[in-house]
Amino acid sequence: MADTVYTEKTDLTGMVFNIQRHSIEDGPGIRTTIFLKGCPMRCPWCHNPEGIESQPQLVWYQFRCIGARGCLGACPKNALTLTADGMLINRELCDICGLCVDACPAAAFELVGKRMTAQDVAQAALRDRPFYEASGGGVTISGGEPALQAVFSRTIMELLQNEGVHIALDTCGGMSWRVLQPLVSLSNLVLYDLKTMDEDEHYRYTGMPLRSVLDNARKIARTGKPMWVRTPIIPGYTDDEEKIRNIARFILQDLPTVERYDLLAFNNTCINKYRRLDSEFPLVEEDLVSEERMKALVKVASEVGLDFVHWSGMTSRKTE
Amino acid sequence: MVTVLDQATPSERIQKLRKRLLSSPIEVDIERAHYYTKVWREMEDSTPCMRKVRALEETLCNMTIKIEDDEIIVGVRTARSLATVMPVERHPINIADEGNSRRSRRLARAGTAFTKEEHRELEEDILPYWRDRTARSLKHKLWRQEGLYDEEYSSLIPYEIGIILDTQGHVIPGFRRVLKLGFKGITEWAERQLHNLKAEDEDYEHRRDFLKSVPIVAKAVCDYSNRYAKLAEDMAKKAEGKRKTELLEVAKRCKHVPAEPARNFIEALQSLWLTQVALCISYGLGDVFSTGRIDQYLHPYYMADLEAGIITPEEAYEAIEEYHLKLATTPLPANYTITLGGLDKDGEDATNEISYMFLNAVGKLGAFRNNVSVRVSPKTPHDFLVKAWETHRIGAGVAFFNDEIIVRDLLEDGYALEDARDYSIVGCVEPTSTGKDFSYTAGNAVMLTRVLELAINGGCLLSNDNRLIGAPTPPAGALKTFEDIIKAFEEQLCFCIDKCTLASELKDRVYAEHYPSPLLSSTIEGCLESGKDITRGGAIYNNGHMGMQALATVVNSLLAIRWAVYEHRLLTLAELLQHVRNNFEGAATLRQQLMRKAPKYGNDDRNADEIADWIVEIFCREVRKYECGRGGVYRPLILSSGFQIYEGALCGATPDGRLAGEAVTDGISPAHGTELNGLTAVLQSAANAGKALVSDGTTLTLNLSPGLLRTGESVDKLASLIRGYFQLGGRHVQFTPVSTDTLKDAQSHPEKHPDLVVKVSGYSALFVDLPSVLQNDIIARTEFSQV
Repeated sequence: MADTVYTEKTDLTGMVFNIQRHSIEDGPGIRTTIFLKGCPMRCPWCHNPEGIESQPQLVWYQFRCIGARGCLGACPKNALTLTADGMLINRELCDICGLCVDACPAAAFELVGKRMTAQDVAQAALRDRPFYEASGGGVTISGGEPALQAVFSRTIMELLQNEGVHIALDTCGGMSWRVLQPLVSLSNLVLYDLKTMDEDEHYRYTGMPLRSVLDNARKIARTGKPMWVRTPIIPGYTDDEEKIRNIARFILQDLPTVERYDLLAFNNTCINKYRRLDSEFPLVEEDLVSEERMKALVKVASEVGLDFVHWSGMTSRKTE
Repeated sequence: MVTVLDQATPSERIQKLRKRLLSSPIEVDIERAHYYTKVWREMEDSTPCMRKVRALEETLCNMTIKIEDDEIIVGVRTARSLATVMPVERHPINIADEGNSRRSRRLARAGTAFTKEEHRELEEDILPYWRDRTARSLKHKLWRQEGLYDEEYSSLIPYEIGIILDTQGHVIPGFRRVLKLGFKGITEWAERQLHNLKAEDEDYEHRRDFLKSVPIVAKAVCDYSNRYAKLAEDMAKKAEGKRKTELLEVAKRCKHVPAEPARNFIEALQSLWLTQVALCISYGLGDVFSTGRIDQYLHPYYMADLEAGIITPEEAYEAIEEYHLKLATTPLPANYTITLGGLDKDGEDATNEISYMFLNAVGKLGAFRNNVSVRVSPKTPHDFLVKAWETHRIGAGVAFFNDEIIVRDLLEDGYALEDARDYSIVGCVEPTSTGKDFSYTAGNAVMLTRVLELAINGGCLLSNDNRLIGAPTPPAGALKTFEDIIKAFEEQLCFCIDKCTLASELKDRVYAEHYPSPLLSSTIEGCLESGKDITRGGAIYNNGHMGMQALATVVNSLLAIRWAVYEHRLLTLAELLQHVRNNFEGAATLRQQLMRKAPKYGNDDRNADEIADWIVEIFCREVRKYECGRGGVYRPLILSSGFQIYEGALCGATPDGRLAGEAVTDGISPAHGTELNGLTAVLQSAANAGKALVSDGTTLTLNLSPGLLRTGESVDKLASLIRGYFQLGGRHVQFTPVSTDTLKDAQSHPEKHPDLVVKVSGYSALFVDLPSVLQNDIIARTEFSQV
């Protein structure tokens, strides 16, 4: 059966914005993470803003530009203006044709988001197999949200499963179980984002209701699939002992298959990524969390009764 | 295994020794030059071995010696703490350079020049004497005789196309033999052999000269050690308490070793160190005597002492720390490379307590200028690999070697299985047997950038179209397809290898005839047995080598040519060469295209990497065709050890967009800033490039982003990275923690580091893309102390 499925669908294409090799924080071992474009949530702390929209986006790197100006003439829509402050991209006019990308000698333009076949993605992801084997690693399907390109994700996962590669699914849980279930069943591990246990807050932060996120989490656990739950620690949002305690309690009571709970410290390395997309990182003024704070939160979650709480990420040096 | 030591901070004594080492200026010492010249002059009619050992004897018996406060293991190459010792017999010395050399300025806190008297002696007496007698001048004479000279341009061809240094070194001395027999045992052996030698024996004169010289030099080493014993006794008279006892013990040890077999762990260390020092004095500076498998030499002594209750692990470890600091007292990097871990003769894991202790010392004190070679087999304990990684928290220095591939390579080179398994690393990355070898492993190379120039310019350098240096291949205008270039490249590579191996053979002849090495030979297995000096093929293994570097520079250049000229037809090859000649002046756009649009080696892109695979394959095939005059094969090497700067300085711009004078690439490493697909992709490319029999070694040097060593989990993943690379067939890899300097440079010159990736706890970010406040933060986190 599996064979039929994938021979039929290998020419299926999807929108990929990065295939990151030597990924070391998206599951066990050394991994390749496939980032698929498009996400249903709108978290203000998102550090992969290029993963939110489903369509490709044009970006321009100021530090690469040598002022050759070939792009200006190459653009059939006259959507580009080079000013003293940098390149203005008129996104109303730009139709993502990519001619400026070809015209620039210095590779200052890039189209974020590339249409690829499932077969090509799987093949790229299999390149590092010797490293997965040496490290107990594998491939992580992430995004954006892989479930937004469910058939594509599923085809990639089937191809990888046929090769015997360990597959992790990184999901925000904000979709119907009908869509999520096949992806969960094809994965060996689910990396599951839980931001808060407060329904109002969840809606305010992400634009999505909490209920389906929690329901899906329980359903995944019920299938017996191992899970790693992850909570971003964001100042003013999730950086709160009570909130972390509530998530920890939920894990303890409702998610028996969770093997690990990761607290991910707020990361602001994405400021220029937002600017390149002509927007502003909503948390641009926020400071990093301190190491002491992260450790304190780990302690809070551990005291609830979880013995597998970790933290990672950049921390502020101020209090060190 | 030695967990008790994991928490230990170095003792006050060790910290003082370390501080002294760090604050010592790098000086120049002329004592050796003085004594050597004196004896050389007196013995003009003598035989080569005899002259050599008398010169060394004179030096060892008269040079200034010293014992520093806090030292327990004694012996100094010169009485000046970190002095360079001029090998006057090897090449002309430029006084101005030596006294105030770039090396001194760079390495030294304050490079002290000579005194006025020393300056006068050098200028008026020593250097004029050596002018026509150095190994270099004799080598040049032979090159001229054998047609490696261009009359019209008064130029020596090997220097146009290669790097053929004056040295003939890079060897693992026979330390095991010294520990086991002592120099008295060696003397007796030589005397026995001399006694049995008959006038009708083949090569009688040379063998007699050699066997007669060994007892003299062996005695000189014993006398030298006795001078330390005497000095320690004299110092003990004035000392008090604990120091008095220590000095008396030093005296006792120096009377016994290295003359006699070592009886315990500390004696073994003293014997090893004094032998090392005497060997270095015998050669001056510039040759490399790597220590080899120190953990294997020392372990039996340690176990016996533990058993007998005469040493504690803490005492042994402190002695190792002192020894590790001793190894750093050479201004020449990679001189005293140590080898740790790996397989034993039976193919079982030989990692032992001493291996861990050395890694611990590196992690606590820093690697200084010492290379630490960690051998890795599938049987290597995981915690040993982890410990090796943890040393990177304070800096670079540890390199990883793949036993499976290296043992396979050595078998191909004719080594017996047990000797192959017992290999040590010499210098940077070159494997040889331990104490049975005179396969001096580095110092000869072809310049691959020159091969490229000759190939795309009809056998001429780009700087002179009228002078044919290489093979007469078609001129640029006649290279109609990329395949034509490939064909010409192969022809020029063969041409350059042929000339450079000839140049190397002629150099070896100079050493055999004028500069034999009886002291070193007396320790190496095979020499006393055969009655032959190492320079005449006395050792059991006698291979030559031929190196190259700049692989990525040249591969990327070929890829750039293919992309711009033959695929996109942006310009003709002749036009491209004109821009290259002009160092891309007025062609910034073209240069950017070549740099950023053409494919690059190091991204696991088969279409690009296959050119690298092909060059390495051709190189190995050709080099391995040549036989070494001493009896072995020529072994291929892809190294750099600093010569990427030299080749880069000689070389004009290259078609990959590199500007004139910029360093070429190191070993099989990708060009800086062109590796865009992450570490695993680089490792895949490098493993494929190294698939051929590059049996003398390959270097792969990679940056280690800050943050990759943060947790135990991340260190585990690094250990797996090595395992993965080695399963792919990689030979060697080493990591340089990205230094604060690099980050600061990237901050002020973002254009030079467009692709510097920093991993801060797993988040990959382009460093230049970060706001300066964040950059500052990362810089502050990345304060690796590098010496």
